[in-house]
Amino acid sequence: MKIALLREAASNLLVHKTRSFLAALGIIFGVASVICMLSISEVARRDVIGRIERLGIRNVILDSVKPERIRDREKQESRQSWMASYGLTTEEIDLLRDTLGPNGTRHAVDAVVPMRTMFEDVRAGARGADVNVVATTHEYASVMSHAVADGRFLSTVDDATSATVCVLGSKAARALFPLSNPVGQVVKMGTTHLKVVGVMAPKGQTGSSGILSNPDNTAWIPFKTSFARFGNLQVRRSSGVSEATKVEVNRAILKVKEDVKLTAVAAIAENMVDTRHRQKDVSVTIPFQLLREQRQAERIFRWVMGSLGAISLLVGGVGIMNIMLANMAERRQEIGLRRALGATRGDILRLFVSESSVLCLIGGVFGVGLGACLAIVVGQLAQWTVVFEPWSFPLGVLVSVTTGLIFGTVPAIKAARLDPVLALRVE
Amino acid sequence: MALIQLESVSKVYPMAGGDVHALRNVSFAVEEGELLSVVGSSGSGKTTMLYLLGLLTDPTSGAYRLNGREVGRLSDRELARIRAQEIGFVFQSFHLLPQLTVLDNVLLSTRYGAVDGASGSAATKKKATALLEEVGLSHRMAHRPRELSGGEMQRVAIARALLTEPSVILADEPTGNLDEVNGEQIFRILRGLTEQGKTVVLVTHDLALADKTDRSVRLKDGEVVDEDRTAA
Repeated sequence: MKIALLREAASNLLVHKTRSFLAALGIIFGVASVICMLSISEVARRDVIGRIERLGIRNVILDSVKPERIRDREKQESRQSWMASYGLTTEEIDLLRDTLGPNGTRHAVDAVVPMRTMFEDVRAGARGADVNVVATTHEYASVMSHAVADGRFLSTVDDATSATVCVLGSKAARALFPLSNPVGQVVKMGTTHLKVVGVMAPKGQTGSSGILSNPDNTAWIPFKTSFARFGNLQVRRSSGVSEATKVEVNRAILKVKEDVKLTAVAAIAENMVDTRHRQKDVSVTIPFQLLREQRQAERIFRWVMGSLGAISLLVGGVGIMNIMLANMAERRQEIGLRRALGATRGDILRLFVSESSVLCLIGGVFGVGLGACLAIVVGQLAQWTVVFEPWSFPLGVLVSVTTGLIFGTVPAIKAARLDPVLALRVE
Repeated sequence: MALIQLESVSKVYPMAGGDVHALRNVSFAVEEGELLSVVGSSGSGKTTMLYLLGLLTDPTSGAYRLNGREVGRLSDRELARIRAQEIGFVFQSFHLLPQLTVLDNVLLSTRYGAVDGASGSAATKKKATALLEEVGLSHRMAHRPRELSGGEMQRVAIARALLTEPSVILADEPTGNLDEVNGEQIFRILRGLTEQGKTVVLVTHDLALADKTDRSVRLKDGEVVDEDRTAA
C-alpha cells in the first residue's frame, strides 16, 4: 500500500474527526483490554510459577497437616488448655533416609531435609521482630537453591552438636539489625541466645502460604538444637489458655535423584504415609506436577483472555464496518467522481480498505498506549511489578490493523461495486 | 474520421417493473474540435448518453468508437485509463471534494493514471496553477470549495477536467446551477477549448445555450429525433 494512499486515507478520515474517533474507540478499548489483560496475566503467571519453581522442581514435599478433628477442636470456643499431636516424626525422616537416601537400601533421593517451625519470639537486644523460626539441616540451602549472602549456612557440626547458632533470611536480618552487620551478633529466641553465623540472599515466596513459604523472613536454627533447647512441644498461650502442639517435623523435602521418576518417589512416600498415618495428617506435593497443572491452567486462561480480546475486537470491528458503510453512503458522489476521473474498482477498494486500516492502526497504537497505562495503574494499585511481553505491543497493533482490513473489506467492496452513473446522480 | 462515433447504440436498464430503454438505436458522430450539444427534456436519456460517451456505462447493444477504437470490449482497467487520460468531465453540481483545497481538487484528476508524472509533482502543480490562472482563479488556490461562488466552483471543475489534456470534454448541464453572467462565462471557456482543438459534448435542456453550439442533437425517449447544425 503506497504511502500516498495512506496519507490520502488519513486526510479523508480527518474530514469527520469526531466520527472517526468514535469509530476508533471500539478498537482502542479492544486493544487496550487485550494489552492490559496480557500484562496482568503475565504478572500472575510469573508469580505463581516462580513460587512453584522455588519449591524445587526435582523435589517431593511432605507436609504435616492438622487433621480434621484438631481443626474442629480449635473451632470450639473452649476455655480449656489442650494438646495436639500430629504429622511426620523424626523417626520417619530417618526411615526415609534409610530406605531412599544416598546410603539407603534404594538410592532414589539425594537428600531428605526436615523442617520444623517454632513459635518463639525473636529479639536482637531490645529490638523485636516478627520473624519465623525454622529448624532444619545443612542440606536445606543446597536443596532449595538458596544462596548465602554473608557468613555461612548451618553445618553438619551445628546439627550434631545442637549448636546455639542461627542463620537469618534477608528480611529478618534487616528487621533485627537495621544498622549493623548481623553476622557474629547474638539473637534471643525465647530464653535461648543464639549466635548469627550467616545471612541468606533474598529468595522470594516459595509455595502459596504459611510460615515455610516465606524464607526471607525466617531465622534458621539447627534441627537438633530445636529439640535440645526448645523441647518437643510448641506452646502458644492466649487469654490464659494454652495450646500445645507436638509436631516433630512440619515439612520434609525429598530431593529426588536426576534419573529417578518423581512420581515413583512420591508413591513410596505416600505408601509410607498411608501405613503410618491413619488420621490423614501428612500431604504429599510434587511441585513439578503443580507446575504442569499451572501451565495447563495458564493455557486455558490465555484462551479465555484471547477469546475476550477477540470479542472486544469483534465489537470494535463491527463499529468500524458500520462507520465505513455510512462513509460509503455519504461519499457516493465522491466515488462516482473518482471513477469518472479514472479510478478503477480496485482503486476505490484500496482507498476504503486503507481508510479502515489507518483508522484501526491509529486505534491500535492508542489502544496499546492506553492498555499499558491501565496495566501500570492496576499494578500500582495492587503493588505489582508490571510486566509486558515485548511482543504484545506489535501484536496489538497488528491484530488491530487486521481487524480493519477484515471489517473494512465489505464496505470497500460495496463502494467499489457502486455504479458510477448512480453514484454521480444528485438526489 | 470522427473522434466519437455511435452506431445503433441502445441502453436498457433492467428494472423490477420492466426494462427501461434509456437509449434506442442512437447513431451520430462528433468531429474533432466540434462543440456538440445534446438537448432534450428530463428523462430523455441525455445524461445516460453523456455517461456512455464518458465510458462510465456500457451500451446494451450497438458500437461506440472513440478515436477509431471500439471501446465496448475493453476491461475496467483500460476504460479507467481512457477516462483518466482522454476524457474530461464537467458536472452540473461541480463535484468538488470539500476537504481539498482548490488546487488539490484540480490535481485530483491526475491521481489516477496521470500522463506526465505523479499527481502532486512540481510539473503537475505548475500546470494546475497555470490552468487556474487561465480560468481567473489563481488567487483562490488555497481556498476550500465552500468559500467559492457557483461560477468559481464550475471554473475549478473545468480546470480539473483540463489538467490531463484530454481530447474530449463532456459537460453535463455545466451552466445549470449558475446565473446568466456566470453561465455565459463558462460557455465562453468551453467554446475556447474547441478553438484549441478539443471536442466538447454539452448536455443541456437550455435551448438558448444549445443554439450557440456548433451542432445540436435532440433526444426524446432515448431516440434521436432531430440533428441540427446550429451556430456555424
